[in-house]
Amino acid sequence: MKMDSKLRRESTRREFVKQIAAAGGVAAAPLIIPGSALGQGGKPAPGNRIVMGAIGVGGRGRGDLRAFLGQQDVQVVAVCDVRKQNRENAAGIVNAHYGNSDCAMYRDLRELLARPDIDAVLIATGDRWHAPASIMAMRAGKDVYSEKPGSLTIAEGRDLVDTQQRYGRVFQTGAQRASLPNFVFAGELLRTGRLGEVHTVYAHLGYLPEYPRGNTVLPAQPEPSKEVLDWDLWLGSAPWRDYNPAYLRTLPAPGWYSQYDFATGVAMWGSHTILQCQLDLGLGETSAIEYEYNHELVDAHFAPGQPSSRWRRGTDLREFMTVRFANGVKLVGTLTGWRGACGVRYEGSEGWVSTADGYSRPDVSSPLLLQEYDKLTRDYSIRNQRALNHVRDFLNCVKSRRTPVTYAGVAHHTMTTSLIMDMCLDLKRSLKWDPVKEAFIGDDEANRLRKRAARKTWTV
Amino acid sequence: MTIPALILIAISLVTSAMAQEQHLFNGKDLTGWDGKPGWWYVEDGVLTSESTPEKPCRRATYLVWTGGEPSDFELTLDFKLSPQSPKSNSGVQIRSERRPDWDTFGYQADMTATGNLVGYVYHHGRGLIAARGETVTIAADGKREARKLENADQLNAAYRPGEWNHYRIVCNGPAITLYVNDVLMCEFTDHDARQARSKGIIALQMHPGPPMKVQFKNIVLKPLNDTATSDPEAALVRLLQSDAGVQEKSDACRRLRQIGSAALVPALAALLDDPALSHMARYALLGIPADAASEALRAALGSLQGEQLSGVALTLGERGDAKSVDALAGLIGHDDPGVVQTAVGALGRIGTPEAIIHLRAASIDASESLQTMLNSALLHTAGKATDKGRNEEALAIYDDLRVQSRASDAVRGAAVRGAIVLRGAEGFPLMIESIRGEDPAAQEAGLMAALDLREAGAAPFLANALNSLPAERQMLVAGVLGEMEDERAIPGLLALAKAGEPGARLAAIRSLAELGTGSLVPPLVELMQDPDAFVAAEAQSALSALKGQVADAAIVERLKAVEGAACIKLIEVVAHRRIDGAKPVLAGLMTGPDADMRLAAIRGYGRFAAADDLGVLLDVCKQSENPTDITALGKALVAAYRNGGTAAACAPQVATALENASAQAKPMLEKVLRRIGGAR
Repeated sequence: MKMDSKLRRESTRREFVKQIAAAGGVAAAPLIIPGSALGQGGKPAPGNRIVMGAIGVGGRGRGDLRAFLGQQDVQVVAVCDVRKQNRENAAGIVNAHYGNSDCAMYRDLRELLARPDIDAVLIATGDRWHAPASIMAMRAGKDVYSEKPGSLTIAEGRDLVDTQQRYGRVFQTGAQRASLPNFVFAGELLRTGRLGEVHTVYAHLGYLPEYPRGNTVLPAQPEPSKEVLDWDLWLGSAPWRDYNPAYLRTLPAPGWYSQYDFATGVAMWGSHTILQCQLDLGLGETSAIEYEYNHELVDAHFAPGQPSSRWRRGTDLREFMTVRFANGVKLVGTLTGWRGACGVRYEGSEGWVSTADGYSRPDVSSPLLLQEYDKLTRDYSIRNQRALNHVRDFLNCVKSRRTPVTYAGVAHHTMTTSLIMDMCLDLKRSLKWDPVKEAFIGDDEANRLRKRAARKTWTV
Repeated sequence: MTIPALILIAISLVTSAMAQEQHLFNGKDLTGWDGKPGWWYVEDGVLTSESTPEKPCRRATYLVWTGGEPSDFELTLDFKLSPQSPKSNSGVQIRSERRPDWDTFGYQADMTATGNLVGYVYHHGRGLIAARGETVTIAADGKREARKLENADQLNAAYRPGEWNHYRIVCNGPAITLYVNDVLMCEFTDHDARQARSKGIIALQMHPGPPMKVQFKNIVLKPLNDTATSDPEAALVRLLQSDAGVQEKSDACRRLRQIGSAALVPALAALLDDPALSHMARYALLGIPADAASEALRAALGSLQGEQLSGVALTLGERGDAKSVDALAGLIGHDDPGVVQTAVGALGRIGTPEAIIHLRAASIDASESLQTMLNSALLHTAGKATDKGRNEEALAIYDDLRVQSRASDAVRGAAVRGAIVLRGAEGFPLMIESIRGEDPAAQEAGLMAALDLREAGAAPFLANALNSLPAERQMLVAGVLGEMEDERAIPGLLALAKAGEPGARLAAIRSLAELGTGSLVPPLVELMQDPDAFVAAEAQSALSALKGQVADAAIVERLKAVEGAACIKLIEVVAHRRIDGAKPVLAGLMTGPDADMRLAAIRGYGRFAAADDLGVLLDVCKQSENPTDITALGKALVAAYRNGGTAAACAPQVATALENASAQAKPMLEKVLRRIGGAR
């Protein structure tokens, strides 16, 4: 097991830079400084912080918001939510953090995006809004940190990538595990050849909100005032349905997680785990080509006596659905297999690694591999100049204009794999995909499902 | 939590389900079923439930099939009700909801021992909603319309009391049809907006009342797709044209999105002006590849208004329909801003030369808000044109937008970048001009374009322009040059490193480290001795980062030549780079006259000493008298041993050296030997 000499050389250099920086106080200057901060690098004075707005500040959004508030070079100036309660809660958090009452509140994201002083936005809306809001933000010149899943349809993901390229904005999809040490370590074992030739990877798809997928339409209830909840805006591009508060929660059904119009299925966790697998395999710019739907394998998971279709706990690594990439690597989707959420497992000719949330150290084929845990995660960080913190990586890239670790292309191509797996479950058949043409081979029906007509457009 | 009781309609997206027979009862046990313990069992291969005087049934209890909530299907089964009580009553729940404690709610194919309720549809909320011999339709508002087709009593003759009878229950769309012993009993169509349900569980009933026994066998479920409806599309079209409710028609549209052909376009087009269904009609039409779908959408542009018109424009854009360009362009002057916005967006998405002409023409005297829409669309078309190799058109757009006073920063930046990148090497002057100018959006775009044009040779061009830029811009450019990995930028960066403003010097040195080769060693060694401490530190860092063995060799050469503080710094670099070729030089320095230098050399050597170096280090020990040196040598010896040494090979070497060692070195060597021996 010899480490690539180039990697070593790189790492030694960076360590040296760090040592000197620590000793002499030389801070790494940003490559490019955003418009509002142009002029000086170094310590963030009020004038050269990254000015941010947060769009979608429910539970997850407020968590993300706190992560951004914890970064010294960020100044959050505005929050936006279609729900009054959410935006007031979030503004309260921001104001408490800064000890003032300056945080602006918006119901309509277009108003927030129209503010020229905002450099970057956090998007943590419901899933149906991730791609449209990201596209609107980039058109308005903002850099974007958007929660996963990045897109609801394949066509939407393509639009996201095109828009990012057209406007040259920094886009990071919120697959934060790509920046967490235990996952980075697994990836480094794979990338540095310590597992030998990797032939099979496993992705945890355990959180299936509803199977089979569908929509549950409830009777209308009186719509709250626009100020309290803007229902039209909440729905966004999704098909109209009358207001009912049962959709506002995530689960149980018919909470929005369970609805075809508002969310994905296995792609919910695939947006983490499949992304993780493809990123580590160096397949971030392509999608799987063969999708094998085996109804016996799938149905067995839903037979009487099986646990409910939500997050199943268990370490049994049982095949649910398998896909293959053009290079022959097999990705097996499973609903269980780890002691925590969003697990991945990489198997190679010389060893394996398996990790998930809550693993302080991954499971490995040989304890020798773990001896290098600190070294490998540090090497990764130094070699790639990546913070082991997803939000930080994004902010660094906002300053340097480098490409974030989970950029738009990775988000789209890995979501494509995930979304196609969902389509196999919908259609109950295997599919073949041409990742260059972004079209199914020999399946006209599936090709139609690549996009959904928008109810209306909210373009800025 | 349970699913709210108010659920009206739950539809499954599931599509071409593999239609195959499923035997719900295996004849042996209750696998696949869930019922109240003690109430259901298998007797002689027959599913059975019985109430007795000792065990009366006080409350209906159901045996629920756990295999799913089928929607459209044919369910057949044989049933037998004990004749001892004329009140014996049971039934088969279909499309029902499950309730706690083995209860259910919904449609039931009813049955009684005497047959008086056989062939009736019962509903927990609405009672007996269809009688034997009737065709019943319930409208969306709950209004019931029944027609009598046959005499209920005559039909009852088909039922054989006390014997096995055969139920066939067909659920198809809104219709439920019951047959007993192959005789049609009733037809029931449910459009009730509040109560109709298109899927749900299947369950068997044990009814309260006097003692009774009910038995079932041969329970077979067949999804309908390949049995009753051989032409699902036609059925869906009939549904669209019926008085079915919005929800059912919407569901039909979802299905047609996937399977619809050109033939059903008229039925969908007819919905485009219906505010409640227009979007779902587009939802279906977007999926249909035939040009007939585009044609219908184009035709609708002339007659629609408001959101329906916007929507159709939107979908024509989503379809990339080139033939709709003129009609969409006609909407740019529309009174409704929503219509204008979608029409402009659609033209951008379509992006043909004709679309571009219209968009540019509209720019001539556009209002500010219209201009914003047009700019975004024009950028979109420029990208499309580039994809198709129509670079001239794209360039014309970029050149317009980059100087347009009303363009937003985002648009201007994108246009500047596009204008540079598309020109390739000919775009270099514009690149420099943009970086040099005072527009931050253009500066950023210029730098990004430089990265895009790396392979076209942007780096040397940029490097040559360094000295014409203000210092703060030099820093940014130097950073980009480091990313570009083009050695031709070295002279420009070197000049900046030597004579720039302080911040720019640091940035230049940092980038040189990314690009540098052995030839950079002498100038970097010079810079390492710069009076500016930050510059010196950065240069030292750069030396440690230079790639390749040529750099190693050059560093060894410099190590021989330099003196004093520079030499000490270079020793650190050598140790960090682990240059084995430098070890002889270090060995010489370890016994030199300068104490600081000696110590630096010993410590440096120790950082990458290997077991092979033990002899060299022990030789130095013989010559060393300085206590500090000796302590450092001890650490170096242990480090060397740990780097690939074995006690068997190393201990004798140290032991030999110990015999001849000076008084000062002895304690140290003994300690080293203990360390090695301890490892034995």
